[in-house]
Amino acid sequence: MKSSILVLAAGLLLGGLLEASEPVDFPTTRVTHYENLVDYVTAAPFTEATFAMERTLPSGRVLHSKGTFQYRQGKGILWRTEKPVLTSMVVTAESLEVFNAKGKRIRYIALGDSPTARYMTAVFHELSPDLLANFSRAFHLSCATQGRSLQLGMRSRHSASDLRWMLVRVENGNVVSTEFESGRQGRVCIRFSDIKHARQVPDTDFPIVK
Amino acid sequence: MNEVRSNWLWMLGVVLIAVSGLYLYASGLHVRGSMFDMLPEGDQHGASVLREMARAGARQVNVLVRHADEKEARRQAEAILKSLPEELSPAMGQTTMQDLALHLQPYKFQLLSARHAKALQAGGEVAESVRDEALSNLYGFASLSLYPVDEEPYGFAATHLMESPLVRQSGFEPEGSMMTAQRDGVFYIYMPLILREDVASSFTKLDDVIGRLESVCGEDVLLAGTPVHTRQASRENSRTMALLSVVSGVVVVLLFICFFGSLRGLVLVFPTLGGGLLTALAVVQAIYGQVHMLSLVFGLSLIGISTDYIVHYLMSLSQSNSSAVSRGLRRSLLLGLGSSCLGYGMFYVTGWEMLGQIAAISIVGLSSVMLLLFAFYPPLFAGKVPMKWGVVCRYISGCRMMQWHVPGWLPWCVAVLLAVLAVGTMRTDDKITNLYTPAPHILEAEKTLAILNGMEKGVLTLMVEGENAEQLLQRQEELVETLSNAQVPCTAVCSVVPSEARQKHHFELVQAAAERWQDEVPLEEMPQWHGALTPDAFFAACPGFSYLASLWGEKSSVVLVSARYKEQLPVLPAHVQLTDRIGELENMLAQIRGHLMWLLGGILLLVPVGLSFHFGWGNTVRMLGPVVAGVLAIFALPGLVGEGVTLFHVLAAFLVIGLGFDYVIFRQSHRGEAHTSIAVLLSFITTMVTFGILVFTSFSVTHYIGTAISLGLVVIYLLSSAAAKGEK
Repeated sequence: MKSSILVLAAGLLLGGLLEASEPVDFPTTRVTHYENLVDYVTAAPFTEATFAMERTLPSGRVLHSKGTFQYRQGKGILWRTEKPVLTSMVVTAESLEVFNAKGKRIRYIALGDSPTARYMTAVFHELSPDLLANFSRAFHLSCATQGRSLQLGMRSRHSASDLRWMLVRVENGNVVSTEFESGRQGRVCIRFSDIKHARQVPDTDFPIVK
Repeated sequence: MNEVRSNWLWMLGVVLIAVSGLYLYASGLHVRGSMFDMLPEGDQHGASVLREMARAGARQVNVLVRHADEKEARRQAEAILKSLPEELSPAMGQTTMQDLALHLQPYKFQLLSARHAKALQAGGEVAESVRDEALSNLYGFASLSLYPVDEEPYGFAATHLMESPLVRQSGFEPEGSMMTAQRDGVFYIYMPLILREDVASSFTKLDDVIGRLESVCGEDVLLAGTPVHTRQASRENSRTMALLSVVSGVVVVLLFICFFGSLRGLVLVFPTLGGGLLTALAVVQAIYGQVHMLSLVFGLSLIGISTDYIVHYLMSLSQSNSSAVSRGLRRSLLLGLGSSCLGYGMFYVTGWEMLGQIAAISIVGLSSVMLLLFAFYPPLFAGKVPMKWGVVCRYISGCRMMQWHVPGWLPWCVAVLLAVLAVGTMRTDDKITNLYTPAPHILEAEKTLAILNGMEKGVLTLMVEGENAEQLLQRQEELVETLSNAQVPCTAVCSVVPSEARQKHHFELVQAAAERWQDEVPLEEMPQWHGALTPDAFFAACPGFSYLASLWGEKSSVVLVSARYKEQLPVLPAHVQLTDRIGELENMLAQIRGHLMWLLGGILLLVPVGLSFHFGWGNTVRMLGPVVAGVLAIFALPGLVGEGVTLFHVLAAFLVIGLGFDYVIFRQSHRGEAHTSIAVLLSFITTMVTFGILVFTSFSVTHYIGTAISLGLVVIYLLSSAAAKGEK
């Protein structure tokens, strides 16, 4: 599920860049051919999944949330948290919007012509080896493979950045879980389920409220 | 007895040089080069804020990578960052931002962005959006604020920073150590770098580091910032000066051979002058803790005139059977030194540090050279007296043309004529732009950066006055609001650190929100007031904001506005003044120049009073005429070729006064002695060769100094024989 990688990548870009530390069970084989990585994820213009997120804050407090995720190629992504609070985030090449439980937009950030926005536009259109190569500027990429399973490890190259490491697990073409640790956000584990792909991108707006 | 005294003096000279050298080696010489450092200290808060702004910029090198292809631009920028000289470090970076986030955490309930404050103040559904945003920060996959609120949903300190006008108005997008922008199809990456402090204050190190940075960057990358300008000016000047030094050095050597028939007299010139300089610098460093570049250059020039002492000593050896300094010569030398010290000592009257430094360098330097002359020269020439003259001396002593005398009234007539001419032609010139012209590639870099930052028309400086920090912040907040209503964006410290009153108000808003939604958003603990964040505490914890810190003073602070909004500026309150920074500096230069011109007049009155005790009034008036005429020539003659009188002309006039009084003192004290007029001639030629040649330099400052010295000295030399008459 390539879109999940894209979503996480975009999210991390938004959340501020990134940093490395040593996780426990991390793949050790260095990635050299980005083309091979792309083959492990299913290429689909539309992907929908449900997620369960567990965030352990630096203080030790654990927050659980659940919701729906959508990827629409060329349009953007939806991250809709349904429990414990209903809130939606829609990220497109032009803007980042947040909606509250009543569907009212509570935050709008125009991304305009900024370089970050243009990078995200490219991400929303296609996961190319070139884009993955871009990641390698900020991260040491490593992987472990077994059959159709892939574990992609990303360790920040910059000691000062916030994201220490990220681990993406892919099984049978789908990203099934991802974990990352950030100095400020704590440790986050997201598990995806009910993953569906389609060739057709819906014409309707993102379903921001259930 | 003489031998004992000579040994004692020799020992004293060596100890003086050794102690000064060791002190400078241990403490290091701290040189400051900013024009703003010349501004007088004291109650002028505005001036001190402007000086701090200049100091903050003095260590920043701006690197601008540009390329039509974004990837290529990024590749170049990353390559530069990887190969940076170790003396340079990125001004921005995640570390700085993380430090900042940590520091803001204790104040998280009282630092609200304008958006959040407005929403909470509005209440109702609008206020609920703040609550929802806080919850989405906690549960969203990516936090909306750069620095998440941890488990306190209402802590918006980081959002306050990220949404402050400081970040929003910039034409660049922050990205780690880089800032990126796009304009007219070209992708720009701007990387501000900070120079290590010891490098910024040393021209040699600066030249080396910027040179290495240039080779890392290549030709297409633009470099700007104060250190780059300093390097260009210093390189241009040092190239010309090196060439001229070689030329003047060769000429001086030839002159010594021609006048004395040997180079023995030159052997100790450099150790003697070097010893004097070392002692002077050590004393100034001990008193002031640093030396301003202008004080250094001017002080060096003043010490340079002490070669005249050596010339007079060497000339006297032709008439003597002893190498010891004769009583008559010692008296003349001490009178010359005394008149110079009296003149330069008046600099202290102004209370300005820079002039105090010049006075200290001059007085200590000249006195040291005199001491070292008495200590080192007699032993060198023991057994070599009487010294034979060279071919030129022999020719001059027999040439009647070279021994002209002018009547005592003539210098005063010339002085009156020059004074009338000065009234008609003299104009002053305090324009900074006339002092330095940047190289085209540096100018291009500065212009491009200014365009990308929206400052292409320059920056307006609004000076806000206040009794204390809280009043300053409150007045800044009022000003920012007034400007905001007029659609004028600005940069102000209050954008990051609000006043205590505003912080308390924000805290109360958050506290009320926390109580209202206690059931929906349970907090670990209710917000507690721990005191207000102050600018001083913020800047101490976040050194990365040094530029913003430079806008902050104890009783005045600066708010910056792009000059493109000049027409839109609203009516400013009484405690806010629109200040033109360049104009401020030019006014200050004009003020310094004006004061120095009055001081020149004071010296021309005071020194003769001192001399009259020794020479009597009649002789003193005769001696004063050539010096007054020489000084007036400096102010009257540049106007004839359309050149204005600058601060540097006036500073050079002090040098001319020092030399001029030496000429007339020796002419008067040793009248009728052929070696005196030859000594004065040799002093005049060596000074013209070393200083007069500066007229031909392209660097304005040295050109002005050269012009002034040449004009003044020629007039004084031609008229100085008027002093060689009168009653014994």
